[in-house]
Amino acid sequence: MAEWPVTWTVVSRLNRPVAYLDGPDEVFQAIGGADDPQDYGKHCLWLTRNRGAFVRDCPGTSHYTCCNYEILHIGTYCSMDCAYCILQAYFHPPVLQFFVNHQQMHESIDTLFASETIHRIGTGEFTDSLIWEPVYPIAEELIRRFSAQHSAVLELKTKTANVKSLLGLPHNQKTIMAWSLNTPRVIATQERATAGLDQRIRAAVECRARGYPLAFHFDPLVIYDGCETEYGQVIDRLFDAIDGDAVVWISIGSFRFMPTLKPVIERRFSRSKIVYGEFVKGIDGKMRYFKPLRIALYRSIIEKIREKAPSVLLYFCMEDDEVWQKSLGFCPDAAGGLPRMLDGSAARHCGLQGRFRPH
Amino acid sequence: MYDRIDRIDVRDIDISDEKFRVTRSRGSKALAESIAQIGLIHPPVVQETAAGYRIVSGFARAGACRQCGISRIDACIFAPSRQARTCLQTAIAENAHCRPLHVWEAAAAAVKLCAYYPDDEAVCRAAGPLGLPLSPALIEKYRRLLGSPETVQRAVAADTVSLPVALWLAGIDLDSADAAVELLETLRPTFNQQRQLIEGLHDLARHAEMPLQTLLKSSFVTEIVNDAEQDRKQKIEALRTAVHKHRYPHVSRAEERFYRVKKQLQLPAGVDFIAPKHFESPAYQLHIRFESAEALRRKTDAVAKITETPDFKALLDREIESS
Repeated sequence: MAEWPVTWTVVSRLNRPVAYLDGPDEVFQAIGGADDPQDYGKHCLWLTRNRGAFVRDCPGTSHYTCCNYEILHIGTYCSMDCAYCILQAYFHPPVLQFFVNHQQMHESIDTLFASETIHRIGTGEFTDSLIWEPVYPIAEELIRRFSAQHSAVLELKTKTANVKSLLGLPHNQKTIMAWSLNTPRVIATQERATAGLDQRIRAAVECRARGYPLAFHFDPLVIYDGCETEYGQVIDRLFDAIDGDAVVWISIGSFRFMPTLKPVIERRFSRSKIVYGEFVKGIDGKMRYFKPLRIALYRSIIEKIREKAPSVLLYFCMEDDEVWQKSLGFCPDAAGGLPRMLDGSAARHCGLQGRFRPH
Repeated sequence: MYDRIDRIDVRDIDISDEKFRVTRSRGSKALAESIAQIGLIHPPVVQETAAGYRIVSGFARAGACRQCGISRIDACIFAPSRQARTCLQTAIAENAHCRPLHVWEAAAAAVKLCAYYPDDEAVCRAAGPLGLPLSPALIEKYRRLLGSPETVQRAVAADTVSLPVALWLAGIDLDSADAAVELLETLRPTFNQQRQLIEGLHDLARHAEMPLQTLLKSSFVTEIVNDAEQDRKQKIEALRTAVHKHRYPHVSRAEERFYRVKKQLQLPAGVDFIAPKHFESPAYQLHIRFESAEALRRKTDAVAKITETPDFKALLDREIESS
């Protein structure tokens, strides 16, 4: 792999000390044995082959409605540092990996395209979609590939503003540029090394000016005194800059975490208070805000978005029918199911022509 | 197995040498009285040193003998040349095969044993036959326990604090750990209650941006702990309730409301509505205890009528209540 072009590109762009290893053990042991594995893991890049599937289903969670998203597995972990990031506890140990066997990745994408059915796939699930651009133009490659077909849409989800190199690309509306949004307070206190809210919105405006479809993710919502007002202000700022018609979807989800994440956050973010909210154990074993509190915040945010952009498709990431009904006024099954709702919106906004998949 | 059994002078035993000590007890009055009355039944094990003897096993017995003025006792003696590992193994086996080792003793034994083996896996293999079941993960916990403040270790040895809570206390500041131990020693909650109580208090303190110690010394806790009207169990319950109410204000209000409305329903005897845990699942449960078909019919009819009442609809209402 040391001789592979992707490896060479990354190594030459990084200009950092390089060690060639026979296997992952040395990396895993070094990171796993560090005083702060989550931090050390962000400073050590492991270039390797993806031995599993490049295209995989989102792990989702049991008992809550999932959108049947697909993940394009380009790498793991993230160089930014969010207190609430589940990846800190999801990988054992958390290793910043970038997969270099792109031949296999492209073969998997070919198979996806050949199905001629509508797919929503993204790279921003196990890592941030745009942190890699400075060392390897993976997003650029993918945008070009997706532009040349008509049944699948790629979502690049980020908390960066690294879009400059992507603006002039021929995307053919088959890439959705997506940002995770939060209040300036949450960004300042819980999202280290990420772009500020204005930077993210500015990057979205630039992408929209070049014709990219957009998406936004209000996830994780954090409940604190005054949060409803502050989330409302974020929505104002967003739709003052962006026309709602450009938005393919907006997802909403509140902060939830595996219990094992709590001590990690307490150790690494000693000033963070996000784990001391009113969390109860959900049916899937994850800690979630007490349901009526979630519903109250969702209602407030949805009302605000509806006021600004009445036609935007809103959906919940991992919530149940009660939350849907009480917050949005309907259950996804009544609209054909969440996957079908999202496929439909992708088809309309991105000009997809494939068949709808049965979900 | 010993090099000799001999009668030795108790004053020649250096009881401050704890190289092989895996117990914490310093002997008891009862043991001293027993030895005074019927003599030393089971001789301690010692190792000969340049200055006299060090105890391998039998700290309590040696101490008791001194206490009741016995000057010479029988002892099983290891020569100075005997390997330290052999002596330690003997100390562990003699204690562990007589009675189950207490968690602090097991920790001390395990950590001392680690000095004589190349890795934790080897320690685990060696410890099993000595009556000390170990795993690498358990050894790691024991290391953390022995690295915790002395007050925490003392409380674990006294069975006042559980191992998980002790390990948790090992990770917080010393003053807060001491204050938490003091609270647990005063109230003596069960091991299950301990974690819930201390973690809840810790979360409240962190949320209020104050050290746990400050919260534990505040009137929020001390008014309950020092309440002369309540016994220990009532104080534990009062503190748990107070912590729950402050840590989960909306959840506790929803719970109170559910029980209040359920009471208003005047359910027939043997009938109960159960709320979903933390009101997360939408599914409630109905429990009916009955002895005959007729009794079941009577109760289901009563339940059917209740479901038509406004109170029942209020029971299922899951909107948040304002504070």
